[in-house]
Amino acid sequence: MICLGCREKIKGNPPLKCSGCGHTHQARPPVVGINHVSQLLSALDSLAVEEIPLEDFEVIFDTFVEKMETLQRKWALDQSFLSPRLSGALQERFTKQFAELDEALQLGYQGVELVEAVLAGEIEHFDAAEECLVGFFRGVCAASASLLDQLDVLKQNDLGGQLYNLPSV
Amino acid sequence: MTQTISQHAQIQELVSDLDQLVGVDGNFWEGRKAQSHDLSTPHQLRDFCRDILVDVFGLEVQGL
Repeated sequence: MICLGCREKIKGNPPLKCSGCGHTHQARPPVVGINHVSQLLSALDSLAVEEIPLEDFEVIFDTFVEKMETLQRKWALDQSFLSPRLSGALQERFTKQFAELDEALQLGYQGVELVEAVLAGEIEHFDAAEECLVGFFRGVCAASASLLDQLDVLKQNDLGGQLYNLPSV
Repeated sequence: MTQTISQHAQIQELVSDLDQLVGVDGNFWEGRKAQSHDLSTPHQLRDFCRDILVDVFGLEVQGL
C-alpha cells in the first residue's frame, strides 16, 4: 500500500502517520483498516467539508485512478467482463466469484465517474460516489477472499496435480 | 483480443493486481467481514459471535 498523497509506502493500522508527507491516515468506516479506498473516501469526506484544498484531493484521486487504469489495461477490462473469459473447468468453480468481481469493478468505475462529476461542480453526487466506492471495496474483497479460499482448497486437496498447476481447459 | 483466463495462476495474478489496486496487503478477508450485515451462514454466525464477544466485550472465548 502507498500513501495516495505522496506515494510513500505505508503499512500499519490507523492512526498511521506517513513518513513521506506526515499525513496521519485515519480509519474510514465501513472500510476496515487503512488502504487505498479508505484513503480516497477520507479525502472525499475532507473535500466535502473543505478541510483539504481541491488540488490536494486531485493528487490523491489521480493516484487512485492511475491504479484503476493500470488494472484495466493489463486485464483489458474495457473490452469485456472477466467472467465470460473463464475457460473449461474453471467456469464451474469460479463463475460466481468472477461475476461478483465484474459487478464490483463496475461500481469502482461508477465511483470514479461520480467523483469526476463532483470535481466538475456537481456536488450532489458526493453520496452516490461514496456508496459506489464502498460497494467496490466490499465486492472486490468478498470475491477475492472467496477465490483465494477456493484456490487453497484445490491446492490442499490437490485436485490439482493435474488441475491446480496445469491449464484447465 | 481479450485474454482468456485458463489457469489458476492467472486467477492468483489477477487477485494480486486487485490487491495492488485496493491496497489491503492481501487481507481481503477483513474487508469481506466488514461488508456483510446478514447472518445467513454458519461462518457469519461465528464471525458475529467473535466480533461481539471478543472485540466488543473483550472476552477470551475458546475457539473464537
